[in-house]
Amino acid sequence: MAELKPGRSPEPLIFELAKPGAATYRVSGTDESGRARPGAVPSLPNELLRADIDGFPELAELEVVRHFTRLSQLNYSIDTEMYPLGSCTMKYNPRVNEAVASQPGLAQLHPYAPLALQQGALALASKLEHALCEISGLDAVSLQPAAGAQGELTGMMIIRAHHRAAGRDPRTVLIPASAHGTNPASCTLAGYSSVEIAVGPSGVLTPEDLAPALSSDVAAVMITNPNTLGLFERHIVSICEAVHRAGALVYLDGANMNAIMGHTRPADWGVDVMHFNLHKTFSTPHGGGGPGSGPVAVRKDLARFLPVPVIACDGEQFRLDWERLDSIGKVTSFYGNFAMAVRAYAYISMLGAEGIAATSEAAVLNANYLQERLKDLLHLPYPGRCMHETVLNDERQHAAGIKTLDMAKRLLDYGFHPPTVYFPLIVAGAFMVEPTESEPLHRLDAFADAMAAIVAEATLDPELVHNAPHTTPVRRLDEARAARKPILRWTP
Amino acid sequence: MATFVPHTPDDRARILRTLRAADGAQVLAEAIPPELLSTPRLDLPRGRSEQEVVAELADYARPGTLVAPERSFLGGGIYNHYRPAAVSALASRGEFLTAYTPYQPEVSQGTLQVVFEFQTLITQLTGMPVANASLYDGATALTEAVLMLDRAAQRGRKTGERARVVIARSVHPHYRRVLATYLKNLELDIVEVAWGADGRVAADRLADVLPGALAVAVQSPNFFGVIEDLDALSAAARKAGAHRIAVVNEPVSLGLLRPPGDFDFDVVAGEGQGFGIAPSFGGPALGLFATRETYLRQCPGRLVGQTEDRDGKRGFCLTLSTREQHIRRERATSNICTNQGHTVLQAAIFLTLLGRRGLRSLASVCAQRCEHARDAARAAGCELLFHGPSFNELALRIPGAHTASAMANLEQRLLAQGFAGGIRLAEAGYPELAGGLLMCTTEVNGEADIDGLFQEVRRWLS
Repeated sequence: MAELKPGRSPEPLIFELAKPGAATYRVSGTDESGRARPGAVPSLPNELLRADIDGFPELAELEVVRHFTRLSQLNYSIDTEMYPLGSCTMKYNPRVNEAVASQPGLAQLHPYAPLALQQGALALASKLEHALCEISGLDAVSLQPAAGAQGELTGMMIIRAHHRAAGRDPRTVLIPASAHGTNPASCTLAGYSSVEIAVGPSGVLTPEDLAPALSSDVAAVMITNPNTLGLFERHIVSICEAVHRAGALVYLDGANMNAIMGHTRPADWGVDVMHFNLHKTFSTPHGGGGPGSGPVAVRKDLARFLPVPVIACDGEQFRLDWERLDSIGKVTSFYGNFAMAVRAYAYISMLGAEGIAATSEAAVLNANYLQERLKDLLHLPYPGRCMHETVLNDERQHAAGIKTLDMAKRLLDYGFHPPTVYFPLIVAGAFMVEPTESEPLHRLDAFADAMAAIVAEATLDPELVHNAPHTTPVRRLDEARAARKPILRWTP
Repeated sequence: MATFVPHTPDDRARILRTLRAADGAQVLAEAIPPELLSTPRLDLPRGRSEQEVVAELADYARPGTLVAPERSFLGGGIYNHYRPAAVSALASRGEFLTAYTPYQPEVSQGTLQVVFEFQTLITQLTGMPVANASLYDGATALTEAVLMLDRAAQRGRKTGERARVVIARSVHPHYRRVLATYLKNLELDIVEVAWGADGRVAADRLADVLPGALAVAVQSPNFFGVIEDLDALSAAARKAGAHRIAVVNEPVSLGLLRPPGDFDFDVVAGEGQGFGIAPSFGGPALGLFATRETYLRQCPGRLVGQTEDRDGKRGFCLTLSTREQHIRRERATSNICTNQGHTVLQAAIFLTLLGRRGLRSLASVCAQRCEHARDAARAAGCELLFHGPSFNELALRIPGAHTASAMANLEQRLLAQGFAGGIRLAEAGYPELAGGLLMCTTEVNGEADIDGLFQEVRRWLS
């Protein structure tokens, strides 16, 4: 961001840059003017054809390249600086991931290709499934869900299929108040009603918190562990036992797996179903909002409910098995976000068993280091060792009238992306920091130093903080206006 | 051991000193109950260098190169279009690739403006006034369309009363299957409507199943490549009071064909992979979702809107977020969070690069190649299953290949010559079309490649 001067005018829209009649990209099979062969498509009647695409841009290739290059420079990214977003695991995305995923034999592979062409892709996917089983301790995996939220939904569908197969259909899912918003939304889509469970002052769930709600109508409990306060749910084993005694299953939101890999396994706690986020834990890029990938892992007896197709191997040849009578069905077209699986597999292969464990350990050390450095600056509502992230808040800045949002925005002026703010909802003014293992110590220090400076400014010059940011391509935006009178497209 | 942990031994020592811990194991043991820390070493191989891993992945990639792109005639929802070099060059810039969801608009104007431009391009192509910032793929876009229309209608519906959705059987089999998977847990039933002799949904047949239906979904061009009579289908559905969803599977067709927005559809649910996104064994793809303004506040997924900053400068931000799961939780319009941001970017670059004339030319070339294939197929003695107008796919029946084993034999023979001739319809979800082969042509398949394919078919026949 350093090269961006304050007040730089925003990039015009592509529609404003368009030059009708410009010599644009030439499509194969067209003449020099870019037109298809005349007499175009004789068999298509005129009433099926459109006259034009009103408003569609026309620009020379260099103009297009400059436009998107300039837009890219208005972005913050991991490749430019630390991105301490809690719950998002913004770790380094190794460049080799992109190289292997773009090999023609994988990138150009068609999902309906003859089986002989699919063998490498299926072998790779099968190896990734094995690695995810090993890391979770669970027995079977589907790579089909396109993102974490869809993994949750798939998991809840599997849980519902399990209960129905046993001749019951309990309709309630219990979710701790600290959960991600996707948890209750995914439950609704699976036809469940969710009940929020309040968490006590320790910040972790106890069997006693759960007991009053654990009726025979409970299908599952959805737990995030480590939870969104960055704390390990230390009663997880007795919670799983209690849930099982009540005839329900335990679903683990695996968003925070980066904290525990190679050190403790969900299956050993008693988890029945979980999802992974390949775009968090396994270094596939976030891409400005996706694509993600949310593989689901299950215990052996639930494997029959996994989405179709599943990868099977008949000795020498891999194939896709569609004949699964108990399967919940299908959740995406084809086989999910396969290219993300390729990247995740490359990452896991480079780390290996020891590297995976060392990664999680370093993620925990980095988070605790930042917690130590920040806890004298901001209020830390749940002191003690954290896992991969720490949640602080703005309580000490209230007197100066400075809120979490102000400090978050001021961080932008110091060149840092803010942490996740106002989540989890159970901490007022939450400031949720997750540095990840890939951040060097001098950047952790620089971030802590920036926070120290901002906290000092909050007292000495609160207006400066309150009006931040001052140096970004645009300043605080009028989001209320955007929602009140939505402008969602360019019009001439 | 290769990790991406950058600490020097001194760094690590300083961290541990700050934490007053002897080693990492102690820190973990203070946070995790010790009895849960007894996990044995992961049974995974030792870490390897980048070079070794690349070599392993090259082995996995090799089988996929058995057929050259110009000799692949596979479509069916994933299309083999040429990707201009500028698409991958720009999209792989780290500033786009390694950015998060643009929740902090001051430092995310690049991503936000791309999405705003993408939304605009999709509205222009579909003829609909609103487009969102993407869903996972075509299948979930169709599903979300049905769920949205149900939500909008529910206000007048008694609880427990089931609604019915009519869907053409010529909609992509995966899309129908995904829809069925989602609806199994909700109060919605699916009724399928078959195609007529020309491969199109007959408006009168549709009318028979319409009464009382919440919505109708048709795909055009449909799974067999046949262009539906959207005008007649929309009119029939409107008459019966049913909402209308148009599924677009091959988005390049929008460069040439009249868009669903011309025919009073409520939602266009589509697959955007054809816009410069690599096939990648089916994903990541790009779910397109466009609708009327009426449904704006019921719409699933993210939306980017235009606004101003404190200095009056134009800027973009995520908007109408109160529909979404992170705010509305169990009452959200969808559970979607992470979407397909990076394939949105690729599509936006692709469409901008080709532009108005380029996209139209591309669509025309694809359709021309399809006409060439039709003539070549007929000359080789193949039968067309349907005679309705088609865009860039054809359903064929090859004489002598009516059984599964004969089809498999033909596939092997073509493969030995480096061709992937098409999709076997019986195995793709249409057992009633045993012996049918769905063949797709794009600008990548030259006329010589098409002729070469049918030459092999003739050899196999003789």
